[in-house]
Amino acid sequence: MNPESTAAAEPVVHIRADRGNWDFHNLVRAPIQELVQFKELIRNTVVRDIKVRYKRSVLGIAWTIIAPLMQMIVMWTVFTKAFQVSMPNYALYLFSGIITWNLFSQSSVAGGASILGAAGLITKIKLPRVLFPLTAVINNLVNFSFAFAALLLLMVVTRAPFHWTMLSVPFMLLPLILFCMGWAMLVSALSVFFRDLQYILEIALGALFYATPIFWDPTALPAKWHWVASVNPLAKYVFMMKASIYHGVLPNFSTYAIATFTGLAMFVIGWIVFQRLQRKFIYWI
Amino acid sequence: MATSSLLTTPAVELKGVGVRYQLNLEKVFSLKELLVSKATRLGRQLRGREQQKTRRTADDFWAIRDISFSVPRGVCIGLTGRNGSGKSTTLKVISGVLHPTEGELWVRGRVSALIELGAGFNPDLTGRENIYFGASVSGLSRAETAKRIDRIVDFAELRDFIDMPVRNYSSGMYARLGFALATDVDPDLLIVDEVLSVGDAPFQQKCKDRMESFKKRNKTILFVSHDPQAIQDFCDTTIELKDGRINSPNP
Repeated sequence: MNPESTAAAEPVVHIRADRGNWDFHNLVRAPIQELVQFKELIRNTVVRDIKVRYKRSVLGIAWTIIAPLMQMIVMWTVFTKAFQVSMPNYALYLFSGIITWNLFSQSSVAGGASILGAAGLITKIKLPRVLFPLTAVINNLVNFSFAFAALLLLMVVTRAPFHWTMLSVPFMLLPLILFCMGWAMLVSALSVFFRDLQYILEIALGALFYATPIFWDPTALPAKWHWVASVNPLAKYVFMMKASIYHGVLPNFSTYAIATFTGLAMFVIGWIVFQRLQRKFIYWI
Repeated sequence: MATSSLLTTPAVELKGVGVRYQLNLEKVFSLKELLVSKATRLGRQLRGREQQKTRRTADDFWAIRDISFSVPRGVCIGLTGRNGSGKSTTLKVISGVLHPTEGELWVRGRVSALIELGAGFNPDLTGRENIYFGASVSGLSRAETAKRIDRIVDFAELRDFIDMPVRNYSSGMYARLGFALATDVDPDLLIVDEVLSVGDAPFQQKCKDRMESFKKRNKTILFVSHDPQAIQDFCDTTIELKDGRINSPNP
């Protein structure tokens, strides 16, 4: 709100107890107007979360790079030494998968807990609640970009070839971001009502990790397991990312179209469920 | 908006507002319990509607009901009543945190609620960082906050501590910062819930002076307190709540 607007026309809030929250205004226009009005808060929430996370750590923001690198080194050691995997540039293959996976898994953990975590604000102050799961994803996107810088460094160190297809990474990210945001909205809203969800999610993420081509090669998958990669949306996102970074090819149009549609569908589902349930949060938090 | 309507329309208007807590729902906390409760409800519905009706009324609790009043601009109105009479619920509905189960309401102008001071403060951030964060919670931009920050710090008397994490603040310092911030966003409507008892005597006097200056500038104040003296000092008129309903006629 800027001073000019308050001088011209004061804000009038009209609240009516109705059940008509399926209409365009309640479901789309009003929440978006609120998000625009609170854009400063969105920015501050992202900045605050980053600041707070590393405030009392010695290495600070460097952890966003160190953690996935360590993850990669452990897996690289296990698979190249113990299991004799011999893929060229396997470190890059692993790392591009890990940082993509982390964007999703950390978004769903942080995003899923974001509403319960913001209980203090939500029960006291009127604000667009959807900003909490959304900023959790934006936050992990910031982490991803730091990790991506580490990836470039890794490519230089391991002398991996740079493919021009890497320029398509932002486009590969877009459907995944939509998917993560939708998923975060869905989980954060539902976990207000079912606290078990966070435990279920943890187990499901553990299983999903193995069903996603992070350390294994989908082309080497036996035919009877092909369905795993086709039903798991994460497999597509990771595959697309690896195609453009590691393999140096662009995914074909239908793969990209399906991935975009899946991301968009998840965003719409998450948004609608969230907007439908958010009025009831305060009774349950 | 025409000036005439600005003067005549009340700042706050409530019509038949009610908030219902569904106690039977609130007990459900796990998926298993939800499925069991849905199944029992379905069974009950199959057996007949009458039983279902009696169950609903037994488990529903109206925190407030049939609340209708309006607050003219520039008036300080006090909400009184015992614990659990619905004062805080009414304030939450007006501040937009709680969506009413029935009725409707209008709130005109920028609202600032002093419901719990420093609700959004993060203990690991400094006082200054928390001011920027807290101001954006009220919808202020960074530039607007930058213009106010010196005044806020001075009012809270925290000049020497403002770059220290608020984790190290005393509860009085915490509340002073919260009060200074919430009252500096220059609201048209100020909602005050039991918070004027913060700080020492000189600071309380400053709070009172600031409230007085709000009244002088024709701002509307909604005030909740258990202190009859404070209500008498500040408020032009009072509304008494009892068991979620208005006990005194709307003045």
